[in-house]
Amino acid sequence: MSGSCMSTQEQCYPDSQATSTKSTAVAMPKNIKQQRILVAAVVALCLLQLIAAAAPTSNNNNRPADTQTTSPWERTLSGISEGLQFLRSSFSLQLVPSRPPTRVKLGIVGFGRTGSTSIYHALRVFATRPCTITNDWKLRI
Amino acid sequence: MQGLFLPNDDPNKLSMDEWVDALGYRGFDAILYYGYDFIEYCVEHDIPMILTTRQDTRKWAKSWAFSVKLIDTLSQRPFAYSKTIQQILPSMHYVTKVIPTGGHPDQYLDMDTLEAGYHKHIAKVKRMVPSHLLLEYNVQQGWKPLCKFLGISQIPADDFPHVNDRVVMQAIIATFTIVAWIWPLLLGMAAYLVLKFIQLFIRRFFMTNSKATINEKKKN
Repeated sequence: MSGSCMSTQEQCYPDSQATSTKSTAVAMPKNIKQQRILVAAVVALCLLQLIAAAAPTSNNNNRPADTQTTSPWERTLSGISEGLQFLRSSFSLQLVPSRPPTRVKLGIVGFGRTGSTSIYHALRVFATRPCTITNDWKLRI
Repeated sequence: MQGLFLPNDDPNKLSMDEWVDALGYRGFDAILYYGYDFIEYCVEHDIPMILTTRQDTRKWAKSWAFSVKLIDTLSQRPFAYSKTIQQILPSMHYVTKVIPTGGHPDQYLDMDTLEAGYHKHIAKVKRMVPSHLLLEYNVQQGWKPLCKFLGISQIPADDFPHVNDRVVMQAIIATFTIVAWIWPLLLGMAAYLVLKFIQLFIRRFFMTNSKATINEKKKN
């Protein structure tokens, strides 16, 4: 930072006492280091954004990666993406989009980790709109 | 969503009827929730129910105990700063710690308690729900029993979805844990970036202006 100021100062005030060859020589590498940190930070943030946006999905139904058709690596990426999307939604003010009113016609009453998320996505194949506390927790009800 | 789980004296507290009606009004026609008040409501209103089960209960208990870490992470910072997350934590506590342990939330990581809680839940649901309204279902069975129960004649050509396995859960929990550890660093990084851009802007704008003024003075 001070290095870049120095160099700018040097250009603006060529006769200024503030410009010394020694200080410029010391400050330059620091400036380059800061620029590299800045670039690394931008790249890291872009990567996080990319992972959050490009979740490997099994089909066009916005379903997370399927155990049978995707590799562990793809499923890991899908999990990271789900986690990041959850975080993003938890701090955003966007609400769940409204849908045409209906009546509740089905209950799924098994515990989690018994295939409830799989059945959630299976029901969506039949144009059913299932609701879960974990997926639709932003509903203001 | 949290209206059902608010304390009884809260003016925004919803009854089960109001909660289910509100979800229907928002366009949902199926609810995944295993609170016994909801099961009672479904029985009263002749709403069919699917009870998802797993063959190996010990495996289920291990998987469940692993997944519940997610809820523990949500009570830490920076998640504690999200008002919406804080609002759903009481419901999460009830659903993930009270019911699956059979009313012993302090033992939510104990395998035997979880297994007993699982069997207790299955038995209770079977006792509460008339057989014509209940499908006991293992996702390994695929589309056929599900379509039959729902009265759907055409079985989908797609494979039955199998999602959220252990690998995915591990990745989600790892993401949450890492964020819980490094969030100050992320905030610092964002603040640093903003600062750098402001500095860059000031330098470009003001320095260019002052340089132009000096050059103008020199010319004069």
